[in-house]
Parts: sequence; structure tokens; C-alpha cells
Amino acid sequence: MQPSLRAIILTELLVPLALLVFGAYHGVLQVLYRAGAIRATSFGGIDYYQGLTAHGVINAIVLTTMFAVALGHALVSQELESPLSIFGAGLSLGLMLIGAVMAAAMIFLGKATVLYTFYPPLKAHPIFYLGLALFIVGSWIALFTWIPVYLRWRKSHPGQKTPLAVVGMFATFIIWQMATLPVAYEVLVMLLPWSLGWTPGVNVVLSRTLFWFFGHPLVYFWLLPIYVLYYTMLPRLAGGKLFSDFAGRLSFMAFIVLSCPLGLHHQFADPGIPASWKAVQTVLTLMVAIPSMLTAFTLAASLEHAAHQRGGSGLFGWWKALPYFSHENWLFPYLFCGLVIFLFGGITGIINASYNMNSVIHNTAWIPAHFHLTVAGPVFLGILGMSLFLITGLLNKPVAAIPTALAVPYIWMIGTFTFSTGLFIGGLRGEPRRTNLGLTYLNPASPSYRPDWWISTHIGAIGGVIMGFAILLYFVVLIRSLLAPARVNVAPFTIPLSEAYHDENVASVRNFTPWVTVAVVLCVAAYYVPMRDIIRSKYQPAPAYSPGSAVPLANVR
Amino acid sequence: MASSSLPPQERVSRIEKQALWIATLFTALTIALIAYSVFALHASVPTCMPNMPVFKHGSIIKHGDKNYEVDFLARMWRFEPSKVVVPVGSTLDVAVTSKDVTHGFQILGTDVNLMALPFVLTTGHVHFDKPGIYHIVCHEYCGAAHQNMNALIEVSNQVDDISAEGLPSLDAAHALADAKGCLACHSTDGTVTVGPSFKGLWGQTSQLADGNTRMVDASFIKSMILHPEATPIKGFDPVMPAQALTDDEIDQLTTYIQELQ
Repeated sequence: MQPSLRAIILTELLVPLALLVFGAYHGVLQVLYRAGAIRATSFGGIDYYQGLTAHGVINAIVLTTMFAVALGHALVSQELESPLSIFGAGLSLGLMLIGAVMAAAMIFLGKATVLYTFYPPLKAHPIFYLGLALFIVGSWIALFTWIPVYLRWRKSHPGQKTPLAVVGMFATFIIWQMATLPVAYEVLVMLLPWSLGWTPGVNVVLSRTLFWFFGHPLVYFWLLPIYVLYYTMLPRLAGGKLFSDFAGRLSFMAFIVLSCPLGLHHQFADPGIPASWKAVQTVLTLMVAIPSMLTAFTLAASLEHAAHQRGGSGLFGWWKALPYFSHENWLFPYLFCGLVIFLFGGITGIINASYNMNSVIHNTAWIPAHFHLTVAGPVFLGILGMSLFLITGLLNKPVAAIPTALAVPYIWMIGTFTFSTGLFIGGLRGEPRRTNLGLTYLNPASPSYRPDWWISTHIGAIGGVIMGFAILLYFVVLIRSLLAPARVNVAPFTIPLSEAYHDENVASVRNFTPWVTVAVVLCVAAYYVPMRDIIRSKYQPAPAYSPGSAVPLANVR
Repeated sequence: MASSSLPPQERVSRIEKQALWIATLFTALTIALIAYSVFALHASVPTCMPNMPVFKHGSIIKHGDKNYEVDFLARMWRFEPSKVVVPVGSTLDVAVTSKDVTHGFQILGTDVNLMALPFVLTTGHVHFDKPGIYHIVCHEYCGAAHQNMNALIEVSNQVDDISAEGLPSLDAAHALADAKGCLACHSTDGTVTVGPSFKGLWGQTSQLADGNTRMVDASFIKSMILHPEATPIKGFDPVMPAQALTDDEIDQLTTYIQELQ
């Protein structure tokens, strides 16, 4: 690998991990606030909602995006056996760093306490919006550095299958490209001029609809790099082969088609959007279950195949033969535990997407319980494990304290399940998400005190503290590995990828163009009418508010 | 198990196709169940109502015997009305909108779960068979005192008709306190929320965070409005923003607080 590309990848992995120290710290603080263990607006100089904003932006945007770019650089350059444009990769990194610093600075100065969804008319500082926009543009440039490499490879390898890992990373970033265009419009054309005071108000329904056009594919953007690890690394780590290479390609193409035209399922409770179009997008949402279940099947089959290679037998007995605590394959449990967590994330996702069933749980604690089983399950464990793998590999260092490294995913899984159990129960009892419960609902001195939320918030708190402990152990392993002396005379680092069980005909899923075309057509079909109605609507534009005052900002000036 | 004698390539394809079919059937079944709940059980979600005028104040309206409409105005950081009492067996059409930012509106224990967006109307429908307290919670982050924002519906067999608390007053000084944002944190009924209630505040001795005490009089009220950061009060977070009010407005508010004994 090019030395400068190596430096870029290492920066993209280490900077968000450093930010994660705060992101994880405030995750633990939140469960303590929510259980009433902290009864204050702020702790250690950081307000609850300010910390919640940082937790969302750092963990769900900065960490996930920079990891996806780093993994893409590594896999594309390795699998297509070609150097990448250092100018492109460097520009991408530079914009992402500047954007992240701008947004983080505004959050820590208390000028952007608007949560990571930044719903207007709560207003953040213009630098926050500008930072987010630069960050997103930086991530786009990563894809643009891979495209010429891919096209050259296709030309020089006629008739050959594109490596599955490359197909997966391209699918990830094609979805990202489609999904981020509307949110870039929202941020740059609607919110930025409004936050500067140039426009008097915003169309709130339109901005929410543009945000959620982005907000749900964002979830697939988090997940697909992990799907790449599942398809291309997990079978080999388990000691076997990928059961079906075709299933992987089909899943990635299906995600391109189905990721975007379904954001309305986040707006079931919103006014201003016809129920019929919410129903149309419900059907499209549920169709995503098909590639997901196909993936679950293929991975389970691959694991079974691997277990048989290791001497496992029986209809269920083969489970015992997988390398759960193998020192050589310490990465296996990071991917495996994530997969187990994801089963429950997927099932609860189907519940949330089921139209009127959403009324029971919309905006309750059930929602973070669900998405922590996706983004804090397979995604986060995949990022932790693969970052450690790449960092130590690229620096030629051994992974220190392997028994501790092996314990992290299991402890994290126990913590996540406990946390989510508490929040699922609380959500069904009406406990709201995104709320500093300790000040009122979990405070016996408040007229709003709700003793029936005591148990659920406390189960959530125990889970959150266990998750915090797992992260602490992870940082011990990471720092000790970074401090270890580099090995000499080792073979150049490559990411070990799985072979396929057999050679399938993949002609139908070889080219991206037809799948992207269908995706664009579906997006237009699913969004044209509701979007047209929202734009034509005569809603009074909403003036800006700061989170600290009930008086509109225009009146304060 | 007969398939195990096939060559691997065909075996994989066959099992794969079966998996794909099962996944498709499962998805179709889920969609069919949703369609059943919509068409047969009439379960629905909020929709677009472009021609409905948006109200500016909360209110209760009687449409018939035990058949009421309640217009809830969501605003930083309370609902208007804050409490509604209805007889057992009542049917409520609730209409919800927001005066300022995005709020949430869920009547716990019912199917009513809505988003309240500024100047956009949304509705829900609920029937109360059992007496009890039904809590309404704002479930979308709406600013610093979001956790204080709730209301309740009391379903009682002691009453014959609807009544409500927390509806807007016609009093000019109250309207001024409302317009300047004071009432977001200071109640007028004795309830302590983000800040002390205006009711009974006049003439009290305030404990300052630095250990000193101050009598609540005209000069202290004026200094708390113009420079709240100068004298933080013990037991309250120092979150009050300074308000650039005129002397005349401050006099009106002072008189208002004085009268709320």
C-alpha cells in the first residue's frame, strides 16, 4: 500500500476513535440521567442535550462515515491492485476533518444543542450546518477517487467478476451519494441562510421530509460496510468459505434499489403527508427484509459450513465448533456477536416499519432500544474490531492483551441486550426518548414523577454502564497495542478475504447501472407526489428559536 | 436430505431459492396483516389536511353528549390546556399544533401518538371507557425544559361535562408574560417547574446560590429580568436568559406578580 494512503487510513480510523472517548462517556452519562442517578441539567460542564447531540454526531455520523471511507480505501486499493489518487483521498480526509472540527466545536461551545437530527425551527450556529455539509462533501470525494480505478480495472479484466468487497463498498457509497443529496439541499439551501438570518422562516414539513429521505438510508450506510466484513471476512475467520457469492452481490444490488424510497416510515406520526403515500413506502420498507433475510441465511450457511470443516456436526451441534475464543481469530467474536445482536435489531425494525403499529412506540424509548441493536450492535462492534485489526495491521504491531480483546464483544453484547431490554420495556410504558428524565419523571420531588418508569430506566442504566465498561476495556487493548513495538520482517499487510464455496454465474448482478436506474425511478415514484404537495403547501414558514428560550430569535434581536 | 447427494453447486442454488421464497412469503404476510388492520380494523396514521385552519390558542369544544373536541396547543414548554377532565364514556377528537418548535404528543395508554409541528394541524381520536389519569407526554426534544412538558386527561365518573385548566387568560399582563416567554418556565398556579412559580412569589425571601438572601420586591424582579446571571438562585439551574424589556413592561410584570398572591 502507498505510505500516504496508509497514513490517511490510520487518521480516518484513529481520529473518530479519539472522539469516541467523549461519545461513549456521554452514552454512559445519559443512562444515569435517565434513571435519575443524575438530577441536573448538566454534569461536568456539559448539558444533557448538548452531550446527547455530541453522542449522536460523533458516534453515528463521524465514526461511521470515516470508518466506511477508511475501509473502502483499504479494500478498493487492495482488491483492484491499484494505487488511489492521494490528492483525492487527502482532500476527502481534509474536508471531513475540518467539517467534523467545525461541528464539534459548535456543539462543545453550546451553540448547536439541536441533536443530530437538527430539526428546525430549533436553530444551531451556521458553522454547525457548514461543518456538516463539508463533512458530507468530503465523504463523497472518497467515492470519486475509486471510480476511475474501478473503470480501469473493468477494462483490463474483461469478463472477470469484480471482487465482492469492492461491489459492497461501491454499493455503500452509491447509496450514500443518493441519500445525502436531499440533506445537502436541506442544510445548504434551507437551513444555512435561515440560520444566518437571511430568510425569515423554513418549511418544517419539507425539511423533515428531506432529512428522512437521508435518515433511513443512513442506516444502510452504517450497515453495508459491516455486511462487507460479514460476507468477505467472517466465513474465513470462522474457518470456511462464503456459502454463496451470488447472494452477496444480489443483496448489495437490492440495497441500492431499496435504500432510499422509504424514508416516510420515519414520519408515520407527522402531519402534512398523505397516509396513502406512507402506506406505499411501508411496502417498500418491508421489502428490504428480503435482502436482509437472504444475508442472514447465507451467513448462517457459511458459518455452518465452517463449523463442519472444524469437525462440528449435527443439526444444531455444529454451533459448538465455531472459534468463539480463538486467539488467532480474535476478530471473529466482534463480527459474530454483532450478528446475534442484529437478529433482534432486524425483528424490532420490522415492528417499527409496520405502519399503524408504529403509533404504539413512536418516539418512545423503544426507538433507541431498537437502533442500538443495529448501529450499536453489528455496526459498532464491526467498527471496533476492524479498526483494531486495520490499525495494528498497518502499523505492523501485535494486538496486545488478546484475552481482553476477546472479552470486549461479549461484554458489549450483554450490555447492549440489557440496555435495550430496559428501553424496550420503558418504551412500551410510554417513556419518551431524548428526554432528561432525571429532572422530572424520575425525580420524586417533581410533580411529574413517574414511579412506573423506575425499573425500566434502571435496567437501561445497568446495561449502559456495562457497555461503558466494554469500551473502557477496548481502549486498554487499543492503547497497549499502539504502545507495543512494531514487528520487523513481516509480510506486507493484506486483509484476509474469504473464498466462495463455488463459482456462480453473476452476470445479472455485474453492472451497477441498471440497479441504480431502478433506484432513481423508485425514488421519484415514491416521493414525487408527497414532495410536490409539501412544496406547494401554504404552511406559515417557521421562525428560528434557540433551545433556551420560548421567544423567537427574530424578536430578541 | 435427498438434496445432499446433488453436486454442491446445484444444492446451494436449491437451498438458496428456498430461503429466498421463505423471505418473500414472510414479507408478503407482514404486508397482508398491515393491509388487514387498515382496511378491516380501520387503524390509521396521521395524514395531510391542507384545508384545515390552524388554531392559535388551546380550547375545548362540545360537539354533543360526551363527544368533545380538544385543541391542544403545544408550546415551549407546556400544553394548552394542561389538564382536561372528561366523564367516563367520552369520545375525544384531539387536534394538535405547535406555536413555536417541533413537539411530540402521546396520550399514554392510547393509540394517539402525534408530532406537533409549527403551524401544521394534526388530529387523533380516542374513546375513554375506563376512569383514570391518562398522561400526555411531549416526546420530541423541544429545548432546555423539554422534560417539563406534559399534560393530563382525567377520566372521571364524578363529572357530567368537560372542563379544562391551563387555557389562555384574557388578562393583559398575563398576555405580556406569555409573549415575553416568562410562562415557559414560571407557572402562575404555584407549580414549580424550571423556575419558581409567580404565584406567591412576591414578598418571599429568596436564597441566593452564594448564600445571601434577597427579598422579592420590584428592584429584585427588575434585576432578575435584566441580569439574571448576576444573582443565581439556590435550587434552580442558572438557565434564565436576560430579557431586554422596557421599564414600562417590567412595571406591568411586577404588578402582575404582586397580584398573584
